[in-house]
Amino acid sequence: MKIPCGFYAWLEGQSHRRVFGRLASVVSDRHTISCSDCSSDREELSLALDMLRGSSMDFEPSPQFDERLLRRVQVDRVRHSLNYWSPAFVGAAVAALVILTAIQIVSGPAEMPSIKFGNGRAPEARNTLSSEASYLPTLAPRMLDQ
Amino acid sequence: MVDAKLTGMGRAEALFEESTWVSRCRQGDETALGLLIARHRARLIRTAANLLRDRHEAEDVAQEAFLKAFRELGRLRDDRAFSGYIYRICVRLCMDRLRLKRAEPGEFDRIQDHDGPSIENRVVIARILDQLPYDLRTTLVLREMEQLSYEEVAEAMHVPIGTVRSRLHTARERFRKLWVEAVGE
Repeated sequence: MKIPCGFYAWLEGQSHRRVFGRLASVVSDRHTISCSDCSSDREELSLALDMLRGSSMDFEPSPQFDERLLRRVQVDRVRHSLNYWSPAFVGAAVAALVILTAIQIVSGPAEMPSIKFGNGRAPEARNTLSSEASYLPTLAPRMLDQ
Repeated sequence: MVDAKLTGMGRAEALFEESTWVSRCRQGDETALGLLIARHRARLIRTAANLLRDRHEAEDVAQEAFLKAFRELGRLRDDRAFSGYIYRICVRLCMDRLRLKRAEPGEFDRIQDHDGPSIENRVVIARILDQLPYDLRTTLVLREMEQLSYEEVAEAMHVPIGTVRSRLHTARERFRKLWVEAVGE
């Protein structure tokens, strides 16, 4: 009995082949004997995969490969250690700045600058102005009287 | 996932030797670093070249893989697993590069002879592989060219074995059709 080509294709799927094991291989082989299309497909696949395997790229690495890689490893290690220590450096710098500022503050009291406007007579002038302003005539009450 | 060289000289012995190198490498020993590079260099470059089809890019990726592996050596729990660890890193770096490249549909020039591993064959293979999505391409190359087992492919690509099997089936079928188109009826 010949199995349909669709079933053969399904059976050829590797996941199904795993489930059905050797039986799948036997049924597939029998099908390809009797079906020229599937047989030709299988032959083509075999040739294509042979060509793929034959085109493997085997070559010697360039002579500077090791040297370049070792240099990159060293650079990477230095960069990594810098990255590791940089937060400590920043912390130390900030701490040093804080300590210096504290020393500056403690060592001598800062003199606050005094600024005098108009030889210190500004409050006087303001008081004079405000007392004079209270005697300024206003028109509104008189106008009401009239 | 051990190099073919390791199987020749006694697997257990080679693994012990390698774990010693890894341990020394952790302490900053440059000689051990050189020994690890010398052991894995050829295999990583070959795999990367087969995946990317570009010699210079392959060397670049292999260097990246070594750098990443040495940088993250602290994460490796078992020193004897270094071989698989660095191979996985290399495959994933290749996949990242392939993902960034778009699949390029293109017309094929008919080739006359496909009996030997000629330059034309390599060009045709490269163009066929360029048309496959990166996951199918990686599965096909690791299985057919690198001759890895299904388990090893699954481990390298970080997918279940069932996914490897179904991807491989699809990849083979697409590869066959593209190959027929390339070489003519």
